[in-house]
Amino acid sequence: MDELLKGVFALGMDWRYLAMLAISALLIYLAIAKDYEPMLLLPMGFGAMLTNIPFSSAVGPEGPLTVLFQMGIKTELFPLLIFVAIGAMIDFGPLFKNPKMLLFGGAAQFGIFFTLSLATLMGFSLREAASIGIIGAADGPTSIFVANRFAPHLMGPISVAAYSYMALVPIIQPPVIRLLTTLEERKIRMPFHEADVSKKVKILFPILITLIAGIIVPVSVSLVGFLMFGNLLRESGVTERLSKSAQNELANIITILLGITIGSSMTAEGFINTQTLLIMAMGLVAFVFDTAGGIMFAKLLNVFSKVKINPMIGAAGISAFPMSARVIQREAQKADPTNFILMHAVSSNVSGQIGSIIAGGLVLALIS
Amino acid sequence: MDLTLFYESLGIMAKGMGGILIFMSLFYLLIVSLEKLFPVSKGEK
Repeated sequence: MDELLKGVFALGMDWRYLAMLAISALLIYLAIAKDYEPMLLLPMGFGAMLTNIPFSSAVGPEGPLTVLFQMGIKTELFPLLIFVAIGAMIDFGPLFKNPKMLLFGGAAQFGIFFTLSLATLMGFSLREAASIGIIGAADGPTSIFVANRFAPHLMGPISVAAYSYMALVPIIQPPVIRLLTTLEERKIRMPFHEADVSKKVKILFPILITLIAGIIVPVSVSLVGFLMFGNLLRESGVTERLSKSAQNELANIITILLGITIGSSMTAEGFINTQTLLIMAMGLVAFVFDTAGGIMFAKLLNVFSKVKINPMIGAAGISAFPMSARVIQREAQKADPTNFILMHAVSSNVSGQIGSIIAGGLVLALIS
Repeated sequence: MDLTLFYESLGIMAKGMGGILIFMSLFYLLIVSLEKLFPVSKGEK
């Protein structure tokens, strides 16, 4: 009888278990009822629930979630395999037609480093601060990859923050945009000139990006290489079956395993503390300053450029694709219903995906 | 309050943002060069 009731007693003795069960229920609710990144938040919420049931057989030395964690997260395998899937889904075409947008994909990573500095003032070590700052990459696998290297004990709150704020980009970005831009700036038009790109360019690009980034920053080879491998599967034209599998079966299987395993790292002891609240707050700061960084860079370029750039395009350099591009187009049309800057915003948004993994690689190199 | 770590993080910020902008500029030059070296052929249009 005692064996059967020990779980009930444990719930009563430690309120943190109940709190974590409530948080896991919240994540599941947000995923299902609000459609907030359901592909990740639902498995994460359920994994958190499995972990926080007292004496759960899903965790512990031989628990399946522990095995998955050791196999897929500690080895960095799951986030890297997701990168293959993401690479296969990305179409760099808009970027090739408008390569200047690469600069905004870089500028919009400012929030990562700003938050890193802020975190050191909050008492976090440099490695912990880097893991928190990388939330600003707006890229779940990159955040998990860096957090696993530098601060695995903070993986739970960092992952929740990263995926939650990615879903909240339509709420986070508009107020920042309106604060930092004038109505006249938001009305700036940017004509788009359609240009074709040859297949050779699309094939050589992922190969050369991997070589350039890898030779200069070897620690970035995993991040950049796996993303570009997926993209090459897509663009080569001779591995369509593999590309489709990467975009579908691989993406879905690894997403299930990654989500539930990350959820298992959300233990009551590790999650219910003031540190978690700080991390959630700083994750928001990272996203805000990413947006601000992109906008301010665009405004700086406008000082020197005769052809004016709509500063909101800078905000689209955040890696949350394609949500950010849509947010920017919506804001542009609120200012001027006839303004159409979506293609520039998409180019900037796509470049943000490259910017975020380069930022991840640089953080790993500079802190290591 | 010991600000040593903070000052170190500012250095990382400078190197990190500088590094990203250098990389993105390199990639920009790469794309422009590739498009000049391999323009769209008539058959591809």
